[in-house]
Amino acid sequence: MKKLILIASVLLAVCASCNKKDVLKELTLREKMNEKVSELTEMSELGTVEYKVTKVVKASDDPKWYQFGDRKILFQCTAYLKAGIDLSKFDPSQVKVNESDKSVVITLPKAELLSFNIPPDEAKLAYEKVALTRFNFTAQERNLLLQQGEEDIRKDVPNMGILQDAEKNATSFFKSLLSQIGFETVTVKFV
Amino acid sequence: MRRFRNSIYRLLPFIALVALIVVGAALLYLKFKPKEDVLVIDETSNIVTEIRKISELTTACYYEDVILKDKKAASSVTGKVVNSFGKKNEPIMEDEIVIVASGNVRAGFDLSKLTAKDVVVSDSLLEVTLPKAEILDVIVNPSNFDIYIEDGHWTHEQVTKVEDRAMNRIRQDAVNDGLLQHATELGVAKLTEMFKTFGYSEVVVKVRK
Repeated sequence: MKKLILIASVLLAVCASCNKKDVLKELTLREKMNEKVSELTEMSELGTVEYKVTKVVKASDDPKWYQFGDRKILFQCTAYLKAGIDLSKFDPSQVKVNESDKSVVITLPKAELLSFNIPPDEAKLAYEKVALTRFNFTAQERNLLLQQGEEDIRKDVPNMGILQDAEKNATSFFKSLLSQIGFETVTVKFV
Repeated sequence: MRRFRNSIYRLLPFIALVALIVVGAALLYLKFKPKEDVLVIDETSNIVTEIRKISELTTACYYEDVILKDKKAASSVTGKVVNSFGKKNEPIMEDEIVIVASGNVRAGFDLSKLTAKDVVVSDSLLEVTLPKAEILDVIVNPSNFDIYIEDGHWTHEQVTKVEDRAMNRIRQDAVNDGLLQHATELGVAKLTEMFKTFGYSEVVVKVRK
């Protein structure tokens, strides 16, 4: 019997202490913390409209057959969407200048979503209820819920009218700028 | 009484074995416990609360991965009990969180700050004075955060503070690595090139001091 207890104790100790995965995880993390991963890139984007979008992100975690009590969570999120023209796709040969009547026809690429931003401090936890018999929501679970909210807003972009507004504002921007530099007739097209 | 005590002594190894099996099973459960299904959010509408006309020319972008770590006194019951034996500011048991954030900093010119005085045309010469380049956006969305290690319970506010620190560090690193200077140089070059396509043989693009 003593032998059995001894073997069981050793197995238990090995099981509890030897977590190779965590050791490896910690090592790679240390390596990563010492090196800086960054990149500086050039871009050419003209943002012409910004939408502020609010969304309630809510989820209910109802108990399964082996659980008691439920968990509920609710966030109030604000996203900032900027749309406009990616000028890196702009072809200079698409600019037709007529100096005699001071007119210009400029063909721009279609408007697109340029940036999407949910600042961490604008994802506010509005309500959280966890039954005593359940675990609290972890940071990872909360982040996964917010990620779904983010994805949901992104999917809705084509229905918001932001791209149409971006093209309308780009037209007025180029008309104003080009008339300022001497053109009397400015035509803006999108392809 | 002695007989009862003897039988208890005889049972002790069994009791110890059962206790070990229970603890072992608990440890194994904690180690290999099935992951909870990923929660799915309820359908809610996206409400546009504000529309703003902007004229922002983004000319440079900085990308960085940062790893941030935070610790606090353990919040579990065991942790609280253990910490009550230590000093107040030096907890024995700590909760730890490590977050990996991948962020973007976009910089360029706010062209809505251009005034009539900033654009001067004379014959074939065009002179444009741009406002100073600035940081237009610092973007770290929920999908750009990875909770790498999470020991103990971290409230949403505590995690948000770490995320804010990550954002500030990315912003500061971008400035230190010369993002604004890069944005200025690229902006001047790109606008010079663009204005030339409108027929001006001589284009001078400057930046306000």
